[in-house]
Amino acid sequence: MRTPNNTIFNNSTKIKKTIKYLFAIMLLLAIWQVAALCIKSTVLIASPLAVLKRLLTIWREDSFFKSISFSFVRIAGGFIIAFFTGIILAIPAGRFEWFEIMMSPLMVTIKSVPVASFIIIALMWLSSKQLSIFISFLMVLPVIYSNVLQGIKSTDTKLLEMADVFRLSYGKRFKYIWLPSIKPFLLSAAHVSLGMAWKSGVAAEVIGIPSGSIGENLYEAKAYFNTVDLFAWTVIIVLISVVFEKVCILLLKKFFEHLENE
Amino acid sequence: MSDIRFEKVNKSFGENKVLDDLSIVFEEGKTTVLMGQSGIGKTTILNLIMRLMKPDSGTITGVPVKIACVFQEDRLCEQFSAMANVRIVVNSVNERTLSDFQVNNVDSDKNIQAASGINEQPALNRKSIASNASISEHIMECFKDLELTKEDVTEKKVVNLSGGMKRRVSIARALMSDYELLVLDEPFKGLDIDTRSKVADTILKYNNGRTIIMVSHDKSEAELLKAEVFNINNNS
Repeated sequence: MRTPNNTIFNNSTKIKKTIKYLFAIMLLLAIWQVAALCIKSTVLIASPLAVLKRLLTIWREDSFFKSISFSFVRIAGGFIIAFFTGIILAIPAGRFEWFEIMMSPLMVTIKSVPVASFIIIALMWLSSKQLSIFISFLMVLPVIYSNVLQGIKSTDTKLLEMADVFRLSYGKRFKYIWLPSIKPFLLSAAHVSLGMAWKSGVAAEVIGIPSGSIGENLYEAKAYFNTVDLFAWTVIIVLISVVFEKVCILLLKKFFEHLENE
Repeated sequence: MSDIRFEKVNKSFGENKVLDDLSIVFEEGKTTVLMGQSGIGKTTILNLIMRLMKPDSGTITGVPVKIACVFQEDRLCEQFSAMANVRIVVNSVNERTLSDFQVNNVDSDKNIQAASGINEQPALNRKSIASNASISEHIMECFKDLELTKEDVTEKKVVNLSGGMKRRVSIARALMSDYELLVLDEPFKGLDIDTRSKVADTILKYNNGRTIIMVSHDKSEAELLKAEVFNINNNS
């Protein structure tokens, strides 16, 4: 039961946790600053202050938002397509063993082939502009597929028997029995794969160098030994990736919440 | 529906023979309580009736398609409310249990439609809304009979209800579904004596003379449902 005392306790725990997080971030920044001061080479390592200054000016450049939107649309697109494809493939795989066996070699191959090999192979088939969609799709697909499959397999068989006795439709079985069972697996898969989508997507852009992408900016910063820009773009990628992950997880949680309260 | 007949039914689990040439008749419209020691095969009989398993040999005839069950474990969708759990098994129109409610609501809808000159399509929508409302009303009445409050059944998830409350939700789910045969596997488990008697009255009220097959260890539970007792130990 929620009491005023409980609420105060929860709030103070949250505040304490936030303070600990902030402390961890400050500690990391301090280590970074000390390393920059010790190395004393702006080519090898840019200081946090220099990166912060660059971040305050970089967003005013004409190409900034174009680069962000170019990469965001493709990487997020690849993630979303993989997310739904993973679910759609996992459902029959969870029900029919032969389908799971058919999918198994494909998923094992995608999981074990190095991302760099995929990028180079894909460059022969696709234009560099489409590369990041394809690569983030490939990296996310097996994670979503295997987690959803595990969720379906761990569905309570006693509930499925109940559904048989009461002659529930497949729609109701999906909504009330399978989805709640998949939920924790899907949320954890989304957590893991959202970061992977950004890492692999940007890696693909750095190799394919599509014009007007974040990857191109990273490549140019490296080519001209502009370490401050390299660090600034890296910080931007981390920020976008974190915000995208938070928004996606929030939307997924809201979706499940809406379903349960319907 | 006709009588449910078991003729020389055998069922084994590995080396363990649970049912040995069992022959029994469950008469249509009657309440039969299966009693006997633990592990004697009472729940196996229910599972065979519900087609959750097949007999090794022998025949089972007369089992209807429409079955409702209160399982030994509650088997509820715990992340949803009690109301949602019952609504899962109630189709949009559940003719048998909800007929009176629908007739009243459809009539009042027609009157509203005639008085206001609303065209047919919106009236159909209004009818389905009214039917949905009456279904909820009917389920709510059953919950009330089982001493569950509106707050318990609509605002809380089943996972947050007590064991006894979950049991009653499971009973409401069975009673509200469209069935010809009601299967009860220890339905009074975890309920106190007063609640047992109220639950038994509610089962009889909503069952409307349909066939009931129940498993129990307690003769007084059979008396509550005015049932015939079949003791599996001696086949009497």
